[in-house]
Amino acid sequence: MGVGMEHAPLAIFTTLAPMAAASFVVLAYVFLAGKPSAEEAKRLDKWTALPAVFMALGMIASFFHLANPMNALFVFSGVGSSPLSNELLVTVVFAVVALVYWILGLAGKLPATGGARTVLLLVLAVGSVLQALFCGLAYLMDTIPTWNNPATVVQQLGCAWLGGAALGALVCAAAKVELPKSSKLFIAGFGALGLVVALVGVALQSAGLESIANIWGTAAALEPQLGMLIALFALCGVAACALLFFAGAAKPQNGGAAAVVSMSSGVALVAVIVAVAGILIIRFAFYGLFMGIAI
Amino acid sequence: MTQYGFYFDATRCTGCKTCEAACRDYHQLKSGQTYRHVYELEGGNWSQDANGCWTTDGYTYYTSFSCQHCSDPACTHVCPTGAMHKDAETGLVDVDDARCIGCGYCALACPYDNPKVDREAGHSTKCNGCAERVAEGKQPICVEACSMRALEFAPVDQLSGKGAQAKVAPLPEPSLTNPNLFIKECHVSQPSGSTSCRVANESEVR
Amino acid sequence: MAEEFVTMDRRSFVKTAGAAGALAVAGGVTAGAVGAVGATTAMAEDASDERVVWTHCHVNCGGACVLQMHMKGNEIAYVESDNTGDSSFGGFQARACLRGRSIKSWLQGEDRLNYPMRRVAGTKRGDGQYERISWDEALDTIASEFTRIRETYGNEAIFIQECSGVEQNLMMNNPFFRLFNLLGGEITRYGSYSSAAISFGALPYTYGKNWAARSFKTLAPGELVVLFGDAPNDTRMAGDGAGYDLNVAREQKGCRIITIDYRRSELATNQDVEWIPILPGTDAALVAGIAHELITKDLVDHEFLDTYCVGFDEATLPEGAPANSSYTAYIMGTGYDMVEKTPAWAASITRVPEERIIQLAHEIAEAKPCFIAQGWGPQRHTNGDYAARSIMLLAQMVGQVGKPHTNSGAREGNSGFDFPSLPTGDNPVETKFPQYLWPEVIKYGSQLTAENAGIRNKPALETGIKFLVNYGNNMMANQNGDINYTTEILRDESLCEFILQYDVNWTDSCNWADIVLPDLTPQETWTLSAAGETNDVRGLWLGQPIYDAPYERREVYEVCGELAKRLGVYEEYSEGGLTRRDWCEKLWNQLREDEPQIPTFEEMLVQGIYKEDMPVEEVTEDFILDPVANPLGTATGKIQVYAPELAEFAETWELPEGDVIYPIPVYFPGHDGADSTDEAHPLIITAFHTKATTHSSYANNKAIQEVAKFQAWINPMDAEARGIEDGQPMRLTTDQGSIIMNAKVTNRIMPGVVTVPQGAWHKAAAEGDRTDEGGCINTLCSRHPNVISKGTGQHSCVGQAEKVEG
Repeated sequence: MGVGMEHAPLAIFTTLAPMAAASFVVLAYVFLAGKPSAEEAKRLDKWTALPAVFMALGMIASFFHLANPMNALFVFSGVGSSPLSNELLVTVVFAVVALVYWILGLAGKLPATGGARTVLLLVLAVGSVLQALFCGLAYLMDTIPTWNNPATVVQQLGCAWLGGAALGALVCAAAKVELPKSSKLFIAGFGALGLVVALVGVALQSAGLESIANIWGTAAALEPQLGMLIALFALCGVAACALLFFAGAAKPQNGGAAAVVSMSSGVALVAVIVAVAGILIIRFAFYGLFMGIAI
Repeated sequence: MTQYGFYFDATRCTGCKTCEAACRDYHQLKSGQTYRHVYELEGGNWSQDANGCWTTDGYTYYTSFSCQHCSDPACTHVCPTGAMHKDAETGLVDVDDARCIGCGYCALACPYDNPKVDREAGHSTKCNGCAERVAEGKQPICVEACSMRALEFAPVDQLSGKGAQAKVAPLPEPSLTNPNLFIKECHVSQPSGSTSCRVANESEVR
Repeated sequence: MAEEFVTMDRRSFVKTAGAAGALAVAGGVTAGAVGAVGATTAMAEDASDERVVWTHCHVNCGGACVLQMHMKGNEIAYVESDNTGDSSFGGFQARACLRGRSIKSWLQGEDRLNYPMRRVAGTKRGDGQYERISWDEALDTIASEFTRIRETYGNEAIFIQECSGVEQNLMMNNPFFRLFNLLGGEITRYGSYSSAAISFGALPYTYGKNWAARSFKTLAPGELVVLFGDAPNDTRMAGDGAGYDLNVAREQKGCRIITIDYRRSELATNQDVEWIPILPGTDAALVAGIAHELITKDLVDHEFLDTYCVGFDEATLPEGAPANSSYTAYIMGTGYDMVEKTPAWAASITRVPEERIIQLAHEIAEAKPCFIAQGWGPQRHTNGDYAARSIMLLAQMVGQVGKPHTNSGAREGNSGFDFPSLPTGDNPVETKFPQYLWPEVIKYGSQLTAENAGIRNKPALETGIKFLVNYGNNMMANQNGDINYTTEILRDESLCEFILQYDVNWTDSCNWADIVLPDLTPQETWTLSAAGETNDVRGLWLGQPIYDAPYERREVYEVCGELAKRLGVYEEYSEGGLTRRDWCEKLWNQLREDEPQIPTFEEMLVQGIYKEDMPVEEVTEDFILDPVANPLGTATGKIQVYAPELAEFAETWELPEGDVIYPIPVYFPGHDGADSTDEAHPLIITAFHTKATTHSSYANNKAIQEVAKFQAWINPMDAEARGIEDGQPMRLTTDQGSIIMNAKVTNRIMPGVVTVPQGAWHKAAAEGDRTDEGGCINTLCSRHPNVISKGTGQHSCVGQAEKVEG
């Protein structure tokens, strides 16, 4: 098996943290387009615990990758020069802002709509993109030709969006908020966009493998089962997006003509699980494509 | 800073592995751990004439290498903590155990397969050019061990005239990291990136 | 350095020894007895006590290399070798190879013997059931068995096997000889496992002895060097060894080197050396093909052949030789088999292309001087006597023998100090047998005669071996041809009645002994060696014990002294109580009488080693200067292409079926030779000396196995046809047995040939199919000896290779 099992903690980190971050895109959409009530905002803030937990799990997993986590504070001394330091800095800054947002929300210090909430959510939405980009950038090294490709960053971003869409939907469903009708398309569409972007990234990386070789052989031979792994990922991604699309059921709004959507938390949960499974598969496949430039 | 480096005379090497054995012994490395590799590469084919006689255009050559203590090291570049560093006086690349988190990025990035994370020890480990011996005016143990005197260690200005900056298979192009390894190539040395040769001792180096 | 050694605290020693013993049991040791074997670990007393102890590595590579053991208390920190004197390329430093450098791991290996052991009553040899006994009980048993067997069968029933594991030093197994010689003596061997055919079947009948062999140091600028089966960079790897000398000559003198071998040895890897692939065991055919070209193109050195040699052509045949018995008659098809030995004929046998043979003939004829040498691989075939003489003849044909910058055509020479060893006294028993035949001596005893088995000094043996001492060797179940046959003989206790195995490690040979004793390694006791025959230098190494002997390991001189006490000859044995250290000093002082420039013993205690420059002289042998005044030791006094002694043997000896004695060096395929392949045995299977071991010494050193693995070489074409993959296990099978070893699929070996690194430890059940999972080549080899020397023919073997599934 060419699959990089020894990188399991990293695969878990790069699956959970970016999707937790990207789920704030969905939250931003819900707060900006949905105009939730104060009660709904409160429930949403409560269930923002989910992304927080995912982010925390991801960071904990990353610690298991380290041989000596006790020295972890030294990682910031490489900021600016080490892509890994940059990645961790962006992740930590993102997590701190998200934490501030979450605590303020729980404490009732944020308005249901507008004001500081809008600002923070916009910052977090943009920040989630940066977080995924820096996650991907950490793997661009000119001594690892199979990774040293923009496709690495692209697939990381796509995976974040796919997972973020599912996780964001689960937050909304758990919070039992009524969403605008467009949300069904937005959330599923956000996930689908992520899937397509990730697949483009994966395809770009795979296409380059033929031309890469070191003394042990060609990169194309690293993972004979790569095609199957990509297909599994695509299958999981399509399933997650379909679940997200069908998770929302339209119902008439009280006293009004416009329809709203409420999400089924059960279906959303399944969507999250399927999405996480798919992303993990493609992340393991990514690590399995490690190849030194010479030996 | 006086940058130190290695010189490898490929025309003298006989693939005896004494350099590697001495290194493992001196640094008391665990089973499976090594700071020096001796790669055996081979290429070519056999052909049989009408009378059943055999000829071959085959070739075999060894390349012995450890850490190149590069001038532009991939390992220090990616290191998040600065634990992987170049010594200010000798240019030797070493790990500061007290700072290293054992993330393994150095191991991934190094194109010479040198740093490795020792999870038990809690940090990366690698060839340090026997810095403590060098400080005492001695040679690194591998150099002193080489039966054929194929290895040397000195300030690079004393070595660069003896051979070219390493650019033989299985080593990468020197432009990547500017390695301080100079090699006098042998009559069958293949260039970096060559796909005409294969590693003949995979089980000994991988 | 340190003269005085840390005396280990008795209490902590006992405690840690017990702990290590318990570990050994947990590890499931073969010996099946508590703490019998195991690693020396965790005995550090005071880590601040850092010191360097000089000692050296000496197994039977033919050399001895300096080791500086960096000690912390009783722990070995690391090993340095010779870093004294001139470190430049061409300078003299006795740098140890990977084997010596890895000695720490070997000294601490899990196979180390710690206590005397006895085969459990009721079990058979080979069952591997042993129990710990006291030294007193072990020594009493040995002494009483010695006395019983000597009184029952006579001293000819006593035999001391060679001690390959501890060659070079002053002690070797001499204490046993010294002891037994005081008690009526023992039967002895002649011949050698290393060089039987060349030393006992070829050189005596060609030059009278090893003569005119020259070091690679004597090569002239630009000289052509032609080597047959000679791999000095595989077998003489030391930093002052023959391989180094040749490497220096190639670079500094621009010598051109051609190596003729079935495998690409390390000589022809990075160094610009031409490799001519040849089928194993066919060297004599190649020489014959070259000879045809030299004769027909009149390129032979007539003056040399006429003046110094007999029997090259009809005119120089010795008196009594029949017509058409010369080598020329053999080559031109007018004698012997009446077949003309054209280069095309040679090509069909050797698989060297005809045009290359012709070209080689001209290259050799034109090169003046030309250095022709052979390793000991070609002569270790069943036709080895002929191969060895043929290659020497090549040098004779072009007159490149006995003159400056030439060699005899035998192995390259060397020189150094001739260091005395422990005197053994006179052996009253003069009977000798060819060493390789010791299992036959056990089995057939008095049926062996001078005519059928090369018995010397007696027409026939009086008895078989009944009391066998194996000290410092792994002969019984590892290094002797056809292990399955040999161990069947050993298993029968009615044949050899008592077997002692005395060694540092629990080898498989221990499983065939009645008593097993734990020895100290040379590094753990006092030792003194001259740089050996594979180091072409003048060096003397004094080794001091690196730590106090752990467990109950005891060295051989002291142990034989204990036996001497029991047998009533201690005073004579020990010359009034001399210790091993005393003998080092006594023999050192003896050498110093002849070599007054060497330091005193007291100085050596501090400096550990002594080296001196060796001048390289351009020598012309006395025989070449005046062959009449300085005849050689052959029957004719000349270099014998035709050996009258062999013609006489041909008349009188009883030979195994298929064997023939010729007075000239013909190409004779030999038993299981290159022409023996068939459908069931499609591959020639042979052996080579690996850098990982010296014979079976160090074969259990895991540190070496990590950097230089045991792998049998097979050509990619042969591997592909059988589905065998690089690094994966394959099974090799011959009529004698079957082994499993990982494959090295490499174009460094000729198609149709598989070669196995010699020395891996035999690992097989005593019964059943006896597949050897340890990969010992001798499981595959037949017992068929060389024709003339009755020595090792183990390189001649045919069989099959197959992939091991799963």
